Amino acid sequence: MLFLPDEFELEYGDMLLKIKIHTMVDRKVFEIAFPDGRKNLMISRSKVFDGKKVWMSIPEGRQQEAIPIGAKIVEYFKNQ
Amino acid sequence: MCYYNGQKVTKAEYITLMELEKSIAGMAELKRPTVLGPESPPMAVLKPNDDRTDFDVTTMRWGFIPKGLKNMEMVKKFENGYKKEDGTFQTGYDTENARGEELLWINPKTNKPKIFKDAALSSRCLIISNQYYEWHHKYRINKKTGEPLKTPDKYPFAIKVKGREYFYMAGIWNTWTDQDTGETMDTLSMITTDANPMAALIHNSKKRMPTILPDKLAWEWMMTTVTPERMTELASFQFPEDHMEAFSINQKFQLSGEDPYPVTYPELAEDGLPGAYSTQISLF
Repeated sequence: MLFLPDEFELEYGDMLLKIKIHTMVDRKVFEIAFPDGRKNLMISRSKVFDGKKVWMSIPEGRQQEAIPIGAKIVEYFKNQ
Repeated sequence: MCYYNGQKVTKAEYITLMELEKSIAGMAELKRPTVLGPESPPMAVLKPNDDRTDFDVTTMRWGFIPKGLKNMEMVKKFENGYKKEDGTFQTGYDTENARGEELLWINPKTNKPKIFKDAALSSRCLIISNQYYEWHHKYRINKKTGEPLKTPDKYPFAIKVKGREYFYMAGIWNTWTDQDTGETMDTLSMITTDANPMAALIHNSKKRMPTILPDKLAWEWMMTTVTPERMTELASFQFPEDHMEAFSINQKFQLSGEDPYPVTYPELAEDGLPGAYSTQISLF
């Protein structure tokens, strides 16, 4: 894929997530809108101390959602 | 090492994550409907802490309230004007905007500075914006006399910085306390400067524009101690027109409570204005 789309949709369990890509502080930040009325989730991939990359929720507190949805986003782009 | 989301990250990564957090908080503020003037919801602002080592995303009332005003009744009189005891009318003061080049100006008749002086020297902030609005004035010709009408038709335009989701405008603030209720609020004035050619074409009545600052100058404005001369230089900075774009939008958008949408007005086609009009000119 040459260019990232600004927006795309992603199947996640039985939900269809709407995802917007923002560029902030030279990082890609993904904004996830849920169909079940949950507050939008912002996630970004961050390097941790051992050099591994981990999906982080911004602000803190929704890490349990950030990791599996982040993995789905990676899968989405691998399949493009 | 610092913690973020329970993960150990480097200090540099932690700072990046905190900056992202602030950017996201600012973006949430930007998603609210259009803000115009003191009666509107508070404006999204970056405000430094006391020793200028960090900053917060916060909101402020657009309309600078000077310290001398005791309560909101006096503020309304100050802003809107009022009838004096002798029957004459005292005109109100517009403190939504402050002219960058005049922040330190001393009135030679009274030998007093403007109400903005102290804030300009010590309380500088940045307004976060995704676009701002100005009105283009056009005087129709009276068919009987062939002269322009005295009252212009006004066409709103949205003006943005190319390729930026949001940008920074220079501001100054004052924390004001209502002495009747004890309520305290941060109040804000947006700095303005001479319009660049594109902004002057749109805002053709006053030919002024907000002082939009590129990132490095924005940092200097808000986070560093500057001389009065440098402060005036920054406050008067004119953002270049080739980094800006503009388009005309729906009338009375500010009353709708929703974001404006592009509208092309056929009567403006020959006026050399930006947006859809420049495309029309190049086609014919």
